[in-house]
Amino acid sequence: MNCDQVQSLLPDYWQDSLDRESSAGIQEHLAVCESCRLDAEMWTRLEALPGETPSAALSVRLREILAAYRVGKDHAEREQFRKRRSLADWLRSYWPSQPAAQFAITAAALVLGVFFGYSLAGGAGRSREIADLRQELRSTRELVAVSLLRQESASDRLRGVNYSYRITHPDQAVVGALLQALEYDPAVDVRLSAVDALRRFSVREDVRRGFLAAAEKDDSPMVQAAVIDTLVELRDPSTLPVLQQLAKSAEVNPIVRQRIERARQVLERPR
Amino acid sequence: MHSPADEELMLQVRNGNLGRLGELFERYQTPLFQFHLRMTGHRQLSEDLVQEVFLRVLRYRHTYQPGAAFSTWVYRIARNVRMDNLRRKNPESQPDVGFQMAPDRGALPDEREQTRQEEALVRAALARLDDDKREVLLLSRFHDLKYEQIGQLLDIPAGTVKARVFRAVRELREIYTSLLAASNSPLRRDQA
Repeated sequence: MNCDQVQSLLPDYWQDSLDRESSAGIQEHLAVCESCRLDAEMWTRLEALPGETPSAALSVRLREILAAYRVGKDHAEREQFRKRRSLADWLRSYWPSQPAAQFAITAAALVLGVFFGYSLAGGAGRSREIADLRQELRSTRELVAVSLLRQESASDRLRGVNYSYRITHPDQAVVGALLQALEYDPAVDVRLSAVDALRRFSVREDVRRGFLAAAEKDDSPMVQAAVIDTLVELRDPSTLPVLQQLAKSAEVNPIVRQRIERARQVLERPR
Repeated sequence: MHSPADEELMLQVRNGNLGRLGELFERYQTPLFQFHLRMTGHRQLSEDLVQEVFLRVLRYRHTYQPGAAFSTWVYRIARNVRMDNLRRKNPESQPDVGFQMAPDRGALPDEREQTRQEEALVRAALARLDDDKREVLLLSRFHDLKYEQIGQLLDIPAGTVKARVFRAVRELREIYTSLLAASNSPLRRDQA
């Protein structure tokens, strides 16, 4: 083997992925060629670097991240459970226990349904217009994104947020739905994704206000941290007083406090 | 006892079993810390970057594709985190005292001192290497990543990765040799 051949094979030799014959060829060459041997020695010499370990605090901080994430998630799950229970209670309170009364209500609902069905089918021209309009609306991506964002399942709403990226210039309805997701969605993942999706529109005043409100009020430190990072990217010093006020709160999560401190360092730095 | 593969753990995390992320923390916090430390020379910053990596693992866990190597995925995140940090112009240029220092002149020639000198020389040489060369060298040397995986990370063919690794080693050797020549280290006499 000559130097060029050896040099092209040395990286594989170092990762021990050569066949025995090629490895033997390299070893023979290294025994007689000083330049290639020095390269090989440099690779070995990298072992001199000690295996530095992070401080014990890092492990604690990583656990805090997980705990912070769960804070928001658990809260959302409790809320959902509470809502489900109260809806069931509400239905139970209105639903009669007597089978005869149950039968009467079902029959009345059937009659009402048939009546409305006939009355809607009456104006054939009008219903065609509505159908065309609906067809047109359905063809827009805005409608898909907005309707996905209104679904009951969190994974559908997550899809709605991701779907919004397909729209180059979304209308107010989409941005509004994303802002609504950021403010009210019970699932932490959906709110986090909404932060990312809204980043494209951060020059808008309503979006900026939505970010600041989330930084102050969101019950998930993960969402607060993500929003604070986004506000830092905007390099808008006027957001700093709100963040500093938040940092004064005794209940603020350590991760959020750390983010605010970093925000302070960046936003106070002259541009 | 069978220890679950990284990919198996990550799939569970992706499916909502967030507790399994703790095991991935334990497995990856030190290699990721070493990667960032050797790239930045800054301990506190490196810990912050590792924290950011795991924040993103948690946030973007639904983007992890079943069948993908977890190590490739997590090092891609680690690279992005570092790039974002560089864009924010954090003071990465201030390495910790002693981390990238060239060896002292006239140190005692005992064995421990020689080891320390060699370590300091290698660090100093590595710190002087271009970022992209240092990165490819570290990933291939210390992080059990195959050239194909590094190629996926950097969006370049595996053959290009190998060529870069060789060029990085050659350049590192030249820097190391010049640092050694400029120092009074006992290593100079030993390696002459």
